Amino acid sequence: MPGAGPGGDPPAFFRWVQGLAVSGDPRLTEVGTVDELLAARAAQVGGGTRLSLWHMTHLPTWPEVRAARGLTASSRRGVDLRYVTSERSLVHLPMLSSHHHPYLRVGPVVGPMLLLDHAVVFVGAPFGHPRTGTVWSSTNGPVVAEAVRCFETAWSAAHPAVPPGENPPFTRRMVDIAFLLTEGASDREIARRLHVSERTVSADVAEIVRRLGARGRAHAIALVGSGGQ
Amino acid sequence: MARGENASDAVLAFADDVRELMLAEGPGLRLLGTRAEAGAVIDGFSTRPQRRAWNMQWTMGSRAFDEHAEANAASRAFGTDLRLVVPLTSLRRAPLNVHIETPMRIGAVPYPLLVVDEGAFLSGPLGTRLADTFWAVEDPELVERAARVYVTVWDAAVPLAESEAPQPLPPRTLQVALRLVDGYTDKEIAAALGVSERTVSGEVKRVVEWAGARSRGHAVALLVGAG
Repeated sequence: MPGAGPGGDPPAFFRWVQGLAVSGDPRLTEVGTVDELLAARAAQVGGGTRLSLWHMTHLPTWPEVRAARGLTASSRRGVDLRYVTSERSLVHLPMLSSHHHPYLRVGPVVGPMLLLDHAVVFVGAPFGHPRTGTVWSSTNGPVVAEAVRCFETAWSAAHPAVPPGENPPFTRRMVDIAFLLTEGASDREIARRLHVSERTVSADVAEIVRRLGARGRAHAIALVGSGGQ
Repeated sequence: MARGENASDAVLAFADDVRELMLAEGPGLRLLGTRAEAGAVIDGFSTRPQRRAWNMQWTMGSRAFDEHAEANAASRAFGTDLRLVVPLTSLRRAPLNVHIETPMRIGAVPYPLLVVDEGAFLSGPLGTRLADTFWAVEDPELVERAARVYVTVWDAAVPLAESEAPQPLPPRTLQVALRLVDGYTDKEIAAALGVSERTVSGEVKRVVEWAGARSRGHAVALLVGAG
């Protein structure tokens, strides 16, 4: 490790580890794009997790949030789940705090990182880099240890997205419906996929529209994905 | 990392120096405040004659198209040298932004930056307490370095038409797409554009196809980056 190492300072950590990644350092292995990692490997990655799943992203996109669902869905109970994102994400994605309730914190985030069991770390290329969207992984002890320290710093500096004791703005089922709405599913398809009646779906969609302050179904879809920004 | 004289080192060195100055509240930089507070200051520039307004961004909201339209009208009247560089991922997420009239290039963007005549604007360093702040660079030497950084990034980027980004829609189809995203019905769109509902539904089909969507709702999701 060059110099004294990043020492738990998140900007220093990302600069260091992303430098290793893009320069082809053998301590990191290229694993493909974010989408590939989250979609194709989600079950495998999440299923193998026993102890902890720590994740942070500065400004996640709704498709990334959807793709990452497999990570938490396949995790067993008792897993230490943590997610940190920036304050802006809550404006950009109005359903994020409900989806990641109650383990979402808001605070400064430098870059995308996923840490499993303190044993393997996934890190993305810097924003705006020609390889943005590419993910590297490492199981190298010192690299993972630095990642853990970086995450701990970010976690302590962050605060809960939903104040303790309060309910998030949307119910679990509304979030599930929103994921399907943004895939272009009709109420009938949503009802079939979620094993509820079409009537229930229509009522929930109407409530989603109301809570988002949307003009209608299509507008609600736009707001779910971008908060109208 | 040892730094030579090459272009990308200068790009990184500028960011490093600026970051140190921000954290130390050093000279040459002025804190504008939060994103929203800075927006008003930066907007002020678009109403004053500027020789240049060079912008590079990581991401653009799906509404950036509208925001740029207003600023551009004013800037064009002044003959401002307008430029915009964004990464391809940004346009994939918000494809309607290919219609921004600012001369646009697609390329790697090391950090967001706006360079005007006597100043430059950039955000605080990510992951620090200053991450959501905006700053004006006022020191002439730093402004000059910011301009050189911009030129480096611009020169390495490719024009929109030569990139893999989606190519622009015809004007009427675009008008329909914008209203679709805002949640208007075909009937409302027809009334707003003074065309028949049948024409609108044909245009909606084109928008769905352009977005690579499987339904009207899916097209909306893809146009705002939610698909």
